[in-house]
Amino acid sequence: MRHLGAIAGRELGAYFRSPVAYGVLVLFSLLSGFFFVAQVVQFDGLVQSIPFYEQFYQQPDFGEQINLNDNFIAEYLGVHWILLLFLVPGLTMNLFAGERQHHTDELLLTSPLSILEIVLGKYLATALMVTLLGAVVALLTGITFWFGNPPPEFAKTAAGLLGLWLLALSYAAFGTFTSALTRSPILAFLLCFLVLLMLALASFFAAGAGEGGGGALLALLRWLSTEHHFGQMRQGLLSTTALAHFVFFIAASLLLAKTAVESVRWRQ
Amino acid sequence: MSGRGALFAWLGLAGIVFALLAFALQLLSVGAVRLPWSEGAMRDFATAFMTGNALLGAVFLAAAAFSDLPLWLQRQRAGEGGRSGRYAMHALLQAVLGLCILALLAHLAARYEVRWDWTETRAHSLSQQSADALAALPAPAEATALLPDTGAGANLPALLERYAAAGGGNFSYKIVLANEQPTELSKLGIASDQIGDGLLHLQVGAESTRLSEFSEQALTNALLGVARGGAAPKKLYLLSGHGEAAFEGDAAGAALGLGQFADALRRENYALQKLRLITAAAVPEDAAAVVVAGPQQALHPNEVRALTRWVQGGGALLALLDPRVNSGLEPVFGRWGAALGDDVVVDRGQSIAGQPLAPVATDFAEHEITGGFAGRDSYAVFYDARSVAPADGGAFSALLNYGASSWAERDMQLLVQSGEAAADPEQDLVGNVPAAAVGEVGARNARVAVFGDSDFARNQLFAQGVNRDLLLNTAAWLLGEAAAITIRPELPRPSRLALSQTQFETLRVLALFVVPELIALFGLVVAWRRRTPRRRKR
Repeated sequence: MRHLGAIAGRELGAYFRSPVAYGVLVLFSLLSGFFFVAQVVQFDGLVQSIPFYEQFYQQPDFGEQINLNDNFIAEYLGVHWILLLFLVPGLTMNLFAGERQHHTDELLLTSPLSILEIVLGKYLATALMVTLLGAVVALLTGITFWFGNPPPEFAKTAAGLLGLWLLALSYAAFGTFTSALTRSPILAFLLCFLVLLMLALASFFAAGAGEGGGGALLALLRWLSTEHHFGQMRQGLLSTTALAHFVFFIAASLLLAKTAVESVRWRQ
Repeated sequence: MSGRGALFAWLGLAGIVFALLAFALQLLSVGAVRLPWSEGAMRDFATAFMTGNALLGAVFLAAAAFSDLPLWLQRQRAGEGGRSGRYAMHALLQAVLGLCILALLAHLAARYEVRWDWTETRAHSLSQQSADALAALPAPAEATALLPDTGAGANLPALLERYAAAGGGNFSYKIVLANEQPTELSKLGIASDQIGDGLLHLQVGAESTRLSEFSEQALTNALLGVARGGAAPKKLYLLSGHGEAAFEGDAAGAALGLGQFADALRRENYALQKLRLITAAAVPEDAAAVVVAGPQQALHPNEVRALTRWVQGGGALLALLDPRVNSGLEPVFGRWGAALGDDVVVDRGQSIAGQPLAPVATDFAEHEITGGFAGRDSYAVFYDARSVAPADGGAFSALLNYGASSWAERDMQLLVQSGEAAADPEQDLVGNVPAAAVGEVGARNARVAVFGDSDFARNQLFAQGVNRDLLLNTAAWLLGEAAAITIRPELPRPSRLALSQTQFETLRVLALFVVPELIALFGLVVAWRRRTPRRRKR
């Protein structure tokens, strides 16, 4: 495990040399900024409509219910799953598939490093990149604290950001796996994107079908649904179930990635 | 792998992939997947497609494996394929084992779930009262939520989950969709048209109750009620025959009807019944309390006597008596220690939209009924009310008072004729006029509550301010349900974004233009420096 840092460092260096990583960073900050600004406008519209609701719709408590956590931050954070869905596979697609494409994978695999070290090292580099993305979101969210009157709840916001970070780490882990499966980075990207998309859609559906109904199958789908757990965390609720989901997703993806990389050794 | 074997493997993979795709598509479009072994499922094209692909895929994969079998066996015998085969087995076993362990850990994390509520308002946790109620359960509680369809009962699962998490095994729940599991309904003896928007059936030991309101307050109160073994709903008799507010039938739904109050009472598991005291000699034995809701005519002396005897016998009474009506109960209340003023409360300062006859009371006494209202900007709205002044040293105490600018105008002639009124300290009660009084009357300490107005309980005003909670808490107090409590979810404090137009523009420019470009430029510089080789000085 000593070489974990070395591999991560090498991969990180590769990231900062490649246009893909910068493209992802730029696009992400642009889109996240765009959604933030859009959210400001939407929130303002909501606040403007308060007197309307209070008088015409006879909801005198309407203004009382509008706060930055529920009506701004939760929605702003919630939008990022689709941003990450598009962009994180872009970060991970070259991890293994790129090596194979440039034929540098043999060098890596015949080195004295263990496969586990290699997988974890590469994942660590991606995780750091993904944390950078999270930092961008955190920065933008921080603006609501600066300008919020009164500022939003800190712990609740932190829970939401934690959920976002875990979501991104999960996507990155799965992307590592799909990259290990194929020789073509494009295929790695598509595989990661499509499977994560299907999982996300299925989970939206499971959520829509109602919490308790549908029996064991839908209950399993709900547990597998990242949006379900992320949604809970955005509302300020943390549970071992949600954390276990993310840990399971990451660990399982990395385990499968390791198996896929190792399979070169026994595949003809 | 041989050529044929490879082909089989790809075909097999294609079959499995398309089976999975069909599965996902079914789930997305229809919301449910019919499993092939359920009745008649194979007649459905999608299910047949999915099953067929899965089976064929498996067959082809098996064929792929078998087509290589002779070669594999040969190599095994020659000792060649041993190592890679072992690697494969080892790796696959490791993977499967690893996944199983991870799944087990995840399952344990869910089974022995620990939750952390990071909200300031503890929105995801139960209140202390609910936690206490759960701890005091004599037997494990089972809740069955009966929902008409998947859209109903939006917050119910989360609410039930909170109870289950806090209950430590003493609270379990299941959610039943009425149209999917009709057997569950018949097991509980509930007809499908009784469900409405959703019904929660609570079973604690041998006792059970039902409620249709899905709030923490309603659920905890129901738990307390069932735990006490109060299976039979308590009967409230409402006096009728004097133009009282209607609590059943079409009139109950009108603006001046009592329909909402009646529904709220029924949801608290009280049964309501009309009381024609003129024909009955006395208040029925099975009454838990009597409600006199805004009579517009005088009661017969026999009725007054019957009510007096009822209270003297320890019975509970709720009286909502409007001004300018001589109900016949005024002298009785006077004897008991609550003077119902022959006046009308006027307040221009603290009233609804400045209407002088619609005073708002904000001054709540320290009492079981009103304790929860203090310090929360709570207010109760009344209309055309009279004063209810408790006598010093009597059995009654004031429950809530109107504002400092209120007074009880006795010269109603002047008010009605000219629409004018002025506080006359010699006649009128001036300032903080009491709106209602409660007390324990007589040798048997009968609980009595009297309000100087019935409009605040009628549909038009029932949902305003804390009127609803005030009435329900009063009912709970009257019936001696000291443990019936008010739990109101704390709302997160409202907040706004104090951005000026310039600040917003700056933010917009920075977020959308400047920062992304800076990152891009930084990237370009780094990339360029890596590309061009550095000239080394020799």
